[in-house]
Amino acid sequence: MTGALAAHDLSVRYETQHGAVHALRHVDIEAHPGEVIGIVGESGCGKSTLVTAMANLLPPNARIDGCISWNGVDLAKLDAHRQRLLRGDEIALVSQDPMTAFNPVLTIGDQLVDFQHHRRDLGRAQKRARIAAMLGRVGISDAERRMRSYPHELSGGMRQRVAIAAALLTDPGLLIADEPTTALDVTMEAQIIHLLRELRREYNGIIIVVSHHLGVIAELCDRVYVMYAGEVVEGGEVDAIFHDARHPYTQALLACDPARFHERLDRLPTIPGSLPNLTQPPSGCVYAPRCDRAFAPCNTIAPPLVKLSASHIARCHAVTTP
Amino acid sequence: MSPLLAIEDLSVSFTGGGVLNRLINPFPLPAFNVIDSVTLSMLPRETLGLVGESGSGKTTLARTILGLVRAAAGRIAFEGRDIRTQADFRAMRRRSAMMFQDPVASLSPRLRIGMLLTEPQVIQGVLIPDRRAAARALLALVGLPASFVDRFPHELSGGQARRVGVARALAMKPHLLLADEPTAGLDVSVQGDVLNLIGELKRELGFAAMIVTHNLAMIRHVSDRLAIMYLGRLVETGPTQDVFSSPMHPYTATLIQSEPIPDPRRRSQNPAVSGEIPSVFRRPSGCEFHTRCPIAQERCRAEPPAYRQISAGRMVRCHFPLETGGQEPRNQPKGKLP
Repeated sequence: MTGALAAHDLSVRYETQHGAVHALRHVDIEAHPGEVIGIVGESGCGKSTLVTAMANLLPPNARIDGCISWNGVDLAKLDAHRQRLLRGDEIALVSQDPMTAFNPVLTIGDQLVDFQHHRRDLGRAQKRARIAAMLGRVGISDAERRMRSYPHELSGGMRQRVAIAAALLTDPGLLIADEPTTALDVTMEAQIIHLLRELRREYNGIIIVVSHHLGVIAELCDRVYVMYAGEVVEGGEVDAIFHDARHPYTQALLACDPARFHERLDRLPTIPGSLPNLTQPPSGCVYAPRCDRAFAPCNTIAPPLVKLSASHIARCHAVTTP
Repeated sequence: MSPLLAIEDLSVSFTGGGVLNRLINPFPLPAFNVIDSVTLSMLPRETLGLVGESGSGKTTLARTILGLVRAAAGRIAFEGRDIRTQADFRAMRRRSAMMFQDPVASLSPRLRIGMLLTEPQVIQGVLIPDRRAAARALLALVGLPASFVDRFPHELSGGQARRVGVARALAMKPHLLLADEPTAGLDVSVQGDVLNLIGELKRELGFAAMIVTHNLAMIRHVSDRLAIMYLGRLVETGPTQDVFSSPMHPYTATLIQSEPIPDPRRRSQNPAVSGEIPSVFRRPSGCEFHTRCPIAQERCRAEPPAYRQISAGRMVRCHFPLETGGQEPRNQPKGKLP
């Protein structure tokens, strides 16, 4: 099934003993079928909260304002039962650590059969045949033998392939890959990137890739949202983000990546300062205390969302419309 | 210049099964080498990058150098003296230090930072009149406020814990620092901070550093020389710039080409290598990389290549080292895979 995903003015706060943590504030994003969307940012930027909200897996102390709609249905307003149905059937998640995604005491084959419990029309043998075909598609040879293996018998790269196969078995309209290559070695990472790229040719749902790794985002995505301290600070086509970044944070983040420089640098660039305390988010721009282009209004007035082109947006006072 | 550290034919073997297994099992599993005849040397003040994927033995090698893992064969010499007995290793550890991979896990959760920072001196029997003052001096060295003396490790951020790790490693003014994945788990904006700090202190205090990592993008900016490991063996060593611009071992070339580039205009085509790292339990015959090597030939399956010198300072373990000066592929290495 395919459909469109949109978050509008989405805010999430966690109620804790030390007060509310405003983990996500006024986030607007949209994704259309066939697109690969990248969400990039450093730790604490709220990227995990955002995808957890999309998958409806936020912990009980989370409070949601605004809306996330999937095919016109507001996900946050569904009851628990409907949310569960949607999650197994239309929304699938591939997590960072594929080891924890599987039950250690059941074979891969048994678990992948269970993943298809929505398909009442299929018998067990048919489900196993679908699994074998899907494992072949994600590049696992010898699928029959792998279905009899337990998760610990597979390597990290192999487990990630199985996790992707498991997600695709439900034929989801929305596939969320949360740091899909972070736990893998670089040669394995290249193979998984290649696999995801191959798969998207036949898949016409939405893929959301969450990563802190700029290289992975550049390799895979069509459009990118850059997040900082719970806000989307810039969004646009992948080429615009990597070659015409306008928000000072995006520019600083790109400048910090040592992979961009081939000549040896004596000092690696950094971003001085630290993240603001999200129990009391600043009234002005969240990035102002670390920004080298901050001027008076940045500290007091929340910056507007500036539309730079049809698809390119930035939340900054220093950015002006062309 | 005489080397600070010289390792010759160093091997580490792990036996299959534990002590109990060997007692009850009349046919114990054979021992296998996780480090196999590694020969490597380091000059004073040099920065060496020890690079490899998980399971390549890079951390084990670093731990063996400090005597934390017992070597099965080979020779280690530090500052011109052979290191053989446990007493030798203890003496060596006074002048060398290790930064462990997980900075928080390597600090005792019950001790305050001040105590943790001065633990090395206490263990080595160095008299310090005022532990708090010594700890404050170390904190100042790594740019942390003096108030951290009374903090506990769980109160630190990842970057701060890393700085404490640096301070503790430098407490004894070592001549050699072994840093195991000093930036793993750090954001890029903080990673630079930790590496710049190590670089500055290196210039100031003049120690040599071995940086164990899988992060090629980072190591290219901080190391003078690279040593690439695969399945417990060194496959290539050479000056960092040369290895990046013209890798000679096909494995080095695939590592460089596999690194994703943060530029959507230069997307990779096919993955440079397929398959997975074999297990050291079942080391492939001949050259251990032949199972994944794009240019492997019959000879590679049968005959293990020697680790030999190709030009000044460049060693490679390959029958058919890549030629330098071909056309430039995506990530700029000249040694090109077909």
